[in-house]
Amino acid sequence: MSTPIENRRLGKRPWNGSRRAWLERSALGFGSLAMLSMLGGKVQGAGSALAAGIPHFAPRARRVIFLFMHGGPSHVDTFDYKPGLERDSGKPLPFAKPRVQFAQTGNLRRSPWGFRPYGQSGAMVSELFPEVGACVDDLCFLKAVHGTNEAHGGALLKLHTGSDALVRPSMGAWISYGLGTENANLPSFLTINPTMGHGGVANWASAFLPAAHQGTRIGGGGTPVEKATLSNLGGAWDPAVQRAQLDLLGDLQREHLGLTGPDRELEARIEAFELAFRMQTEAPEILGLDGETEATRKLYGLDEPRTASFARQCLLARRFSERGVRFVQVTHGYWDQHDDLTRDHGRLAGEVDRPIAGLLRDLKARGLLEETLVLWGGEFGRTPTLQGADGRDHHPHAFTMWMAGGGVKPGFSYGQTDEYGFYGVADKVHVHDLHATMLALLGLDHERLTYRHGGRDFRLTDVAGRVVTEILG
Amino acid sequence: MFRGGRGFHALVQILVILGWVSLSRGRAAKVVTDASAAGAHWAFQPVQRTDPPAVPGVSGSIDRFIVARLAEAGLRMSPPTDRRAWLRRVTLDLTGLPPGEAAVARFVSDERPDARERVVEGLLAESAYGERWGRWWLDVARYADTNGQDENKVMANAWRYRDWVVWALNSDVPYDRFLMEQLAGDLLPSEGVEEHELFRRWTATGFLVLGPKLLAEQDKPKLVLDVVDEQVDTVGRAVLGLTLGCARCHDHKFDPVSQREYTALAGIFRSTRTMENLAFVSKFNERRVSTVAELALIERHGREGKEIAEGLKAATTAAEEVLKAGWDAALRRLLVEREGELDAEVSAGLRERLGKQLLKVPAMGPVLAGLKGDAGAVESAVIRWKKAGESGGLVPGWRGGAFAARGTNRMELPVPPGSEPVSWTMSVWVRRDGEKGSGETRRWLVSRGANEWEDGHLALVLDGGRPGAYLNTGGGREKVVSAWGKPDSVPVGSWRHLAATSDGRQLRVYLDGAEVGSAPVVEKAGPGQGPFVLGMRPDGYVGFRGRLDQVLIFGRVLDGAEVRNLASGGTVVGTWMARDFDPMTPEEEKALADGEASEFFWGADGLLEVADAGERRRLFSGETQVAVEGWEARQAEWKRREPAPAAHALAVVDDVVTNLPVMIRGSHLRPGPDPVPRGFPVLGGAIPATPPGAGTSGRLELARWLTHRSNPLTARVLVNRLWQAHFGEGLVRSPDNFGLRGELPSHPGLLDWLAWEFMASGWSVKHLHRLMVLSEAYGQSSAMTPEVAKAAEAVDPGNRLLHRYPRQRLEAEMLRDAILAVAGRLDRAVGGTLVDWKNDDYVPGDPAPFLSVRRALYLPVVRDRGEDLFTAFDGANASVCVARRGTTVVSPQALYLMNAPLMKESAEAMTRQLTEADAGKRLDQLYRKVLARAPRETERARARTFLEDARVGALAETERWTALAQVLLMSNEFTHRE
Repeated sequence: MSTPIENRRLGKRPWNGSRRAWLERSALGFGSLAMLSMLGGKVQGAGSALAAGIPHFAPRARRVIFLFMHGGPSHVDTFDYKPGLERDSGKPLPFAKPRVQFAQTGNLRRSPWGFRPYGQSGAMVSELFPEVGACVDDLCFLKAVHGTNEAHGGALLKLHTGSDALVRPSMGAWISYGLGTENANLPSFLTINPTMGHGGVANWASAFLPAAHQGTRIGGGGTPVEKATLSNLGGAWDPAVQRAQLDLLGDLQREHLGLTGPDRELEARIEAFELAFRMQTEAPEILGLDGETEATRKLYGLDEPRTASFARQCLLARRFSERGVRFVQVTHGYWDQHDDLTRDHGRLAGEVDRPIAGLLRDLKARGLLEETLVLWGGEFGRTPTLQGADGRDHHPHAFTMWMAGGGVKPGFSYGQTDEYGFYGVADKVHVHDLHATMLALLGLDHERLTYRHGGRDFRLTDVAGRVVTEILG
Repeated sequence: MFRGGRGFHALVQILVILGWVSLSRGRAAKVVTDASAAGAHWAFQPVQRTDPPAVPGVSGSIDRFIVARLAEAGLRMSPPTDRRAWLRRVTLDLTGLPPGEAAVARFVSDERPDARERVVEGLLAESAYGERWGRWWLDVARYADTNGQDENKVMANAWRYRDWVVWALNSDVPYDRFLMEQLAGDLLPSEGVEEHELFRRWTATGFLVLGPKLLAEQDKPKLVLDVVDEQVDTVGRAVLGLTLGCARCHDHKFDPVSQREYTALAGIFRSTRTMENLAFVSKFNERRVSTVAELALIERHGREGKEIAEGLKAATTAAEEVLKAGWDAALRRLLVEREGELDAEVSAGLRERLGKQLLKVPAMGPVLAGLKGDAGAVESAVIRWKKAGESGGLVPGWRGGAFAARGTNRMELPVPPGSEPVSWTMSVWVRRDGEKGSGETRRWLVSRGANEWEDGHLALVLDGGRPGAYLNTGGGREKVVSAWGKPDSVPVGSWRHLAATSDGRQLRVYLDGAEVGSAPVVEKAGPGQGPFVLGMRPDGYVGFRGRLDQVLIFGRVLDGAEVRNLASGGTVVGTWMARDFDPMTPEEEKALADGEASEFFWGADGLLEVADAGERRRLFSGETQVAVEGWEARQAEWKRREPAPAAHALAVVDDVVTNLPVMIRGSHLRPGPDPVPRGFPVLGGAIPATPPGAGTSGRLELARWLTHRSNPLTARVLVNRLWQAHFGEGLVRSPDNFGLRGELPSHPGLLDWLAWEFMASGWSVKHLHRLMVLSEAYGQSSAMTPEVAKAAEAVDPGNRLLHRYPRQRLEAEMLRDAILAVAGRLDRAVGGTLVDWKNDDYVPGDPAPFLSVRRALYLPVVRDRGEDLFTAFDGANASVCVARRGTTVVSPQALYLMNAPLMKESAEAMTRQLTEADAGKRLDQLYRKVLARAPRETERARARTFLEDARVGALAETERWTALAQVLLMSNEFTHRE
C-alpha cells in the first residue's frame, strides 16, 4: 500500500510512523497485532495495548452487535405507538406526502396489533414483541430516525456505509479500522447470514480502507444458518497432513528468505499461515455452539423450530462478540410487507422476539451488556398509510431503531414523530447522526476518524453527523 | 467558482484573444480557477523534453536516469538477476503467465546478444499479452458484468467491451486513439468506415456505461446526475489522475477545479445518453452491433422458418381436422346419449376440457352414471374408468408404459437401505409436452433431496428444451453445481434419452448418449436425503409435464460407452434402482391416481384421447405422415443453419444537448440561475482545443482535449501507471492523484522523458513496455544481500530509487492463472463470455462459471458478490476506478492457499503429470514446472523428509506428492515475481 504515513485515523496523535505504515501495508487480517508482536519485537506490546490506546476518548462500549431487520419493519406496528393512527384510521393523511415516494399509498391505517406499556419505563410495545417488551428498561429507543433513500438498495447502503450513491466503507470496517481487533485469531468484523442483494458485499466491504477491515461473511446467499461457516476453513486435508505441509512450507520459506534477504512482507506471509491454522481451530469451536447449557439454548429459543434459526445467529453473535470481535452483524428478513402485513410481520416477529430478548438477557447476565452496544433496526420503517389490502410501503422519513447496553441511557426514548408516525417532529436522528453516536460510544470522534484516499480525507459521516449526546448514559 | 485576481482577468483576456478559452454568447465560460496556485504545480506544467543525464558506462536512457539518481544518494544498482528469474519475471509481467519449461530451456541456452529482445517481442506478440494488460486497464475502467449497487442486474453484453480492450492492447492501438474511441467512438468521422469497425468504436464507448448505478432511485433527475457524476469522476481518475468528482458540490478543496468547471464537464455527459430508460428500475443503454448483412440473414432465416412452419401446419391441418371432426362427432354422440345423466356443468366441463381431441368414444355409461357434478370429477372418473380397463393404466412409453407427469404429480423411488454411493448415474427416457404459461422454465425430472440448495441434492432437469443436471456440495446457493447442454436440444413431443453422472469430480450430462455438458465438482456432497422423486422437485415445486420411462439409477458412474448403449436401447447391468412401468406396480398406480390424470388414455375401444401433437400424428394417413416428415426434415436442417441472434453492446449516444446550471451544494433541487456552457477545466494553463459545438454533446472535443499533446497529465498518468505495473510503485506513488495533494515524482526527469517518448512514439504502449522491461533497472536482482542492505537501509529503505528490483506478489488473476498453468489445466481459449445470464435481469446464484479453467480475465465480474480469490488477494473493487491494487497480507489468503478447491485440484493435476519414476527426478520435474528451476540439495532433503513423515503416512503415494506439490504452490517464491 502506498498509503502515506500521515494517513492515520488519529490526526494529531504522535504515532510511530514506520509502525503505522507497516500496519497499513500488511493490514493483517485476522490478527494483525499478534503478528506484529511476532515480528522480532519491532512493535512493543501490540496486542491489547493498541486496542486500549486507540480511542480518541474513554469508550463506553467496546463492541457492537447489530441486529439488522432487512426489508424494513414497520415502526407504527412495533415500537412507535400512535393513538392518532388508531383514531383516524381510514381517513386521508391530512398533510402532504413526500416529493419522492417508492410507490403510492392510500389512507391512514391503524396497526393490527394492540400496544401496552412495559417495565418501569412504561414504554409502549406492540403484541408483536412481548419478550423484547419485557426488556424495555434496558432499551434506548430512537423514534425519529430518518434516512434519505426510499428503495431497499439505496437505504441499505446508506445505513451500512453512509452513502447510497458512492462506494464507501461499511461502518463495521470503520470501527475495525478505528479500534483494531481484540482477538488475533478472528476477524474484527463479522456479518452472519447477510443478504447478497441490495448492495450485497458493499454493505460489509472495506472499500478504500485496508482489506483487513472488510467484513468476513458467515453464511448468507441461501446457506442454511446451521451450515454457515467461513470460506476455506479447513477441509482440504486431514489436520495432521496440513500441519506437516505447513511445517515443510515454513522450512522452505525460511530457506528462501535466507536467500532473498530480510523482507517483512515475506516474513508476514510465513506467519499468516500459522495464524490461519490457529483460526481453523478456534472458529469451528465457536460456530459449534459447544459448551452452551440447555438453559442458554432455551433462553435464545434454540429449542423451537420457529425461533431456532435466528436464535442460532444471536447466540453466535454473543460467542464471537465475547471473544473480541468488534462488530458482529446478524441479518433477519424479509420484513418487506407491501401486503399481508398482518400475517408476515406476525410470523417474522415471532421468529426474532425470543432470540433478541434472549441475547439481551444473556449479555446482561454475563456482564457483557455494559460494554456491548446492541443496535436493532431495519433500513427504513413503513408508511402509516395503507398499501394494497393489508400492506405498508417503504418509509425512510421517520422510523424507530433501538440501542441497548454500550453506555446508552437504559429505559429511555429519544425523538418523536407526528401523531401518525409519518414525519419526525422532534429530536430527529439522521443515519449520519446514528453513525456519529455509535462511534462516540466506542470512544471515536467521527470527525477525527478519517482516512486519506485519492487526495481527500474521508469519514463515515462525510460532512455531516451529530453525536446524540442526549442518549449517552 | 471564480477565485482569480486582476492579473487573472488579464490572463483570461489573453487566452480569449488567442482563442484558447471561448466566450460563448452572453457569458464567458469561466472555467478557470486560481491560476497562480495551479500554475506552480509540477503536474500541470507542459511535459518537457528532457535528455537523460550522461552516465559513463550506462547506455539505456531509463538506466541513466536511475543510476544518476542512485549515484546522488551514493548507491548503485544491484547486479543483474539470473536468466531464469528474469524470464519468469518478464513472462509473468507481460503475459500474466509463468514461462513453460521449454521456454526456460530455450532462453537459458540462447547466447545471441539480442536474446532478451527476442523474448520480449515474442511475449508482446502473444494474445496473452492483451489478456494480462487488458485486465490492467479494466481495473481503471471499473469493468463488471453486473450493475451492483441497489439492483444487481446483469449487463450481459459488457464482455464485448472487455474483448475490445484486449483487442486494442494486442493491436497496440495508440493510446490517444484508445481513449478517443472509449469517450467518443460514436462521434468519430464515420464516412466510408466499414460496419465492423464502426461497431468496434461504439463498443468502446461501453466504458462510459459500465459504472454502477442506483437503478431503483425513484428521484430520476438525481439518478441521471449521479450517473453523470460517476462518469466525470471516472474519466478524471482514469485519464487525468484527478479527483474531479470532488468539485460536484463545491470548488475543489485542493486542486484548481471549480464547481463551475465541474459543471461544464458534467454538461458534456448530461448531453450523452447513458440510460436507455428511466423506468422504476431503470435500464442502461445499449446499441445493436450486427451488420446489415447479418441482420438480413437473421431476417431471411426467420422468414424461411415461418414458411416451413406454415408448410408443416398446412400438411397437418387437414389431417388434424379429420381427427377433430371424429372427436366432435363422438363427443356429441356421448353428450346426446348420456345427457340425462350429466348436469349442465359437467357437460360444459366435458366440452371444455376434453372437447378437442377425442377420437373414439368407448362406452362410458357406467362411469358417467356415477357423476355428481363438478367438472374436475369428470377427469378423475375418466381415470378410474381407464384403470378399470384392460390396459393396466399405462400411458404409452418409449417402451411399453410410462409415467405421465403433469407438473402436479410425483412418483417416489425409495432408496434401499445400505451404502450411499459417492458416484452415481441417473438415466431416463423423456418426452416433454409443450410449456404452459410462462415464468420458471426449469423442471425437475428425476431428483433427490429437497431442492438444489440442499446438500447432496442431485437432479436431472430440463430448462425448456435444455437438459441439465444439479448437484449440491455442502448446502446453500453457493454450493450448487450444475451442468447444462444446449438450449432447445430436447424438442417437444419426441422421446429422448437423458443421463447424468457424477464421480465426485465432474458432473456430466448426456443427451441421446452424447455428453453435452459438464461442470467440475470441487467439494464433497453430503449424503442424499429421502427417496428419488420423479416428476417434480422433491419439495413439490417446478413439476415436469411430459412422460418419463425406463428410469435407471446406478450407484456408480457409467462411462460414455455405457451411456451410449442405454441411449441406443441397450441395457447395462447393475442398477441401484430401476422403474420401467411395464406394468405398473400398485404404488405406481397409486401415485398416478393421486396426481390427477394423464392426458393420454386408452379405453376399451382403443385410443380415447390424444392431447399431444406428436402422438396424434401417428394417427394420420401414411401420405400425410410422409409430407409431415419432409417438412420436419427441412425444419431440422433450417435450425442447424440458425445464425447468431442480433448482437448488442453497452454504448452511449448523444442526447439532447444541455448546458447544466451549477447545482448549489451539488443538489439537483437547488440549481443555480444560469447554465454553464460545456467546456474543460484550465488546470495550469489552457490547452488549445476546440470547445464543444452547439449540436453535439462535446465528448469528441473532450477526447481531443484529453489527448492533446499539450495536455500535461494524460501521458504522464499513463506512463506512471505502466511503470507502477512493472516496478511495483509508480514514479508518482499516487497514481490516481496528480493533483496538489498527490505525491511528488521520485524521478521527475524520467517521468517527463517517458511521457515525451510515449507521445513521440505515437502513443505506443508496447514501445513503453520494451523500454521498461529491457532496462537494466528492471533486470536487477531483487535480493537484499547484506551488502545491499547496508548501503540502502539508511538512504533508500523504501527502494524508491530502485537500488534493487522490487519483489511483487502476483495479482489475484495472475496467481490463479499461474496455478492452473503450471498444473497443465489452463484453458487458453480467447474472448467471448462464459455466461448466458439474461440481460438486464438479476444476477442468478450461478457458481458454475467461476469454476471455469479459462483465464481469470474471462470469469464474470459480479459486483458486490466477492469471490474468495479476489476478496482475499486484493482484487480490484469493480465499482470504482482502481489505479492501484493493495498487496495486503491477510489470513484469508493463507486459508485460500491451504484449502481452496483450486489448490488441491491443481496439485493433483500436477502430480498426474509427473512422469518420472525415480523420486529424485520426479522432484526435479516438479520444481521445474512450478518454480522454473531445479531443487537445491537442502530442498531435496526436506522433500524426502516430508514424503516419509509419519503424519502423511496414511496417504497413498500420489497423495503425498500432491500434498508436496501444493506446498510449492503456496510458497512465496511461487506467489511472487522476484
